[in-house]
Amino acid sequence: MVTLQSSDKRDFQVSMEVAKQSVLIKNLIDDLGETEDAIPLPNVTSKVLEKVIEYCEHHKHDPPVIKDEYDDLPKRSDDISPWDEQYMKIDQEMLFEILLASNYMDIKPLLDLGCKTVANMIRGKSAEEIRKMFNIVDDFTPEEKEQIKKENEWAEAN
Amino acid sequence: MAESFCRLPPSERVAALKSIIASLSPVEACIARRELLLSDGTAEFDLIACLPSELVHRVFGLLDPHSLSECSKVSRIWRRSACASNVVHEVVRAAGFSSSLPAAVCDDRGGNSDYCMLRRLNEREERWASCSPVLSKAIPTIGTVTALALSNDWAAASIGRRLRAWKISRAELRLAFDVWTHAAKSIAICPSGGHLAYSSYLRTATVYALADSSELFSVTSPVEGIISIDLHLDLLAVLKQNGSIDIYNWKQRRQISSIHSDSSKLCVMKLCSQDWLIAASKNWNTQVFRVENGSLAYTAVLAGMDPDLSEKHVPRLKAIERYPGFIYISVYGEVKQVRFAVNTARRCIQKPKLRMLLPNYTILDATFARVLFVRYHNGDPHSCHILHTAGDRVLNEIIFPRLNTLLKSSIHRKQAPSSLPMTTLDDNTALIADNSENVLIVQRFSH
Repeated sequence: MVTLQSSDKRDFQVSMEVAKQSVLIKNLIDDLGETEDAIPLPNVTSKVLEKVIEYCEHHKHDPPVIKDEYDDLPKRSDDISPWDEQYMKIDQEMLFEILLASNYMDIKPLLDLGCKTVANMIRGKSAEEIRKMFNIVDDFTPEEKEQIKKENEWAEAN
Repeated sequence: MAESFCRLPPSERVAALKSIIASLSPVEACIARRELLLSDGTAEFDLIACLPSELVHRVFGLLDPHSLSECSKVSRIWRRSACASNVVHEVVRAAGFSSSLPAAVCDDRGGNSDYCMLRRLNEREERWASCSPVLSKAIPTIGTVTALALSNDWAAASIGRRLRAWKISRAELRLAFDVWTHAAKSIAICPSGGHLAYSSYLRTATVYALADSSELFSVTSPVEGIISIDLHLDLLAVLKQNGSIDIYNWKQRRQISSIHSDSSKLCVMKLCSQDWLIAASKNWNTQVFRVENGSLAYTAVLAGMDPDLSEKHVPRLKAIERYPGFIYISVYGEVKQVRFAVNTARRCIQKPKLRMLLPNYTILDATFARVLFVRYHNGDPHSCHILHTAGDRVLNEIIFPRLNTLLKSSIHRKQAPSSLPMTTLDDNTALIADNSENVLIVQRFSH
């Protein structure tokens, strides 16, 4: 078993196979050997770590991801499994935290899942709909707007 | 710590803040940004603005060109991210047809100039422009080619009474399908490559397996002649001379739907995915239908009508679906191309961009982003060109090498432009039949 410690000093006991889905932790254990001490994760709160562990527990039997090159990004976002889809039914704040945590802990499948979820939120929406969804203020000047309009004339909605 | 911060005089507070900000790790900086954005008490916040750029890159890299273009119109921060050249490059690469990228994603305010993106695009296009295809094969046909079809992996032609298909791979062309048929009027290859359909002058449409040349399904129109057919997975669409379209599920051997257009006679159609069919009438109005619950439901009419167009500019259609939820459609005739982008998720029809080419052009073929045309000089056909466009802009125009040679020889023989080689074009490959030379040419310009 491995103990992970969140930024708010809560300890989580997880099995080795669960912990090693995080490349960060895997490298730490490989370098330092198995340790009784809790591994501190100063960038992850307990609320988020709990959620991340839930993902790793469910996927602990998945085949390992082959380490890829920088530009091998996920290519499609319509291949989310039902469990993952259910798992991602969370508010935007948690989604944001999971993206950061999975990036920091280097859990590529979870990072990809988060990115796909955000991409699916955006896809097919107009700029105005995106602004509403993320509560964004349109900060373009009238000149910039005119420029954008000109560039997009061919694809403007009726 | 917060208390001691509050006790500081204003000038020191700024300095203290600056030193705290400087000491933040990238993740902590993200959290700080989000906290500031959340301070107005709203539940939603600008997720993209708060994420580190490499994660935004990952997210935007999953989008299609149109969605990326919408992102570039959201706010300044979004625009900067959407216009970053690595994002654009990723989307362009995934899209596979670079020049159809909306112009909005190449903006110089993003820190990555038009030049940078165009250079990347042109690197791809150069393979077309260099006149050195990665694959070029000429096949003697010994007979007149009456119909052609091209998919990513297959080229098919009806030559006299033979129906043949060749598998196109990186460096070779292999004859893999050869059956005796009646002269075909229309051929279609399923994009996934497994099946081929053809219709003959005898009002029959037949589906074959490409692997073993076996006949899988056949249907005969009792009265009306068949204008064209199209195939997508289980669906076979048959356009008849009265302007109606019958849709069959050939695997289940049953007709699932029939379309009759009340307003105008449909004269061209294309199945562009398992559940989408587009059709155009002689006045260029294009209709989009969707298969829902096993039957075909009317969806929308795209107005491509132009009073200046005479009947002789009968439209032809090409639909390119590269992403779930989007269809790019090109409708073209001899002198004009109209392009649509249909967002299937919102059922929103994008305004068509009309491109009326010069009167001294004749369009031979067109995809969404490429137009193959013959240019006239002093009333005579002069040269064959491919025009690459992005949105409203022309990226480059190249002389199409092999077709140009064929054109020159037909001019030499004083043949009318109507006897010009038949062509079909997709994003990387061209298939040309020259009946005067009895030769079929496949040219692939990039993998």
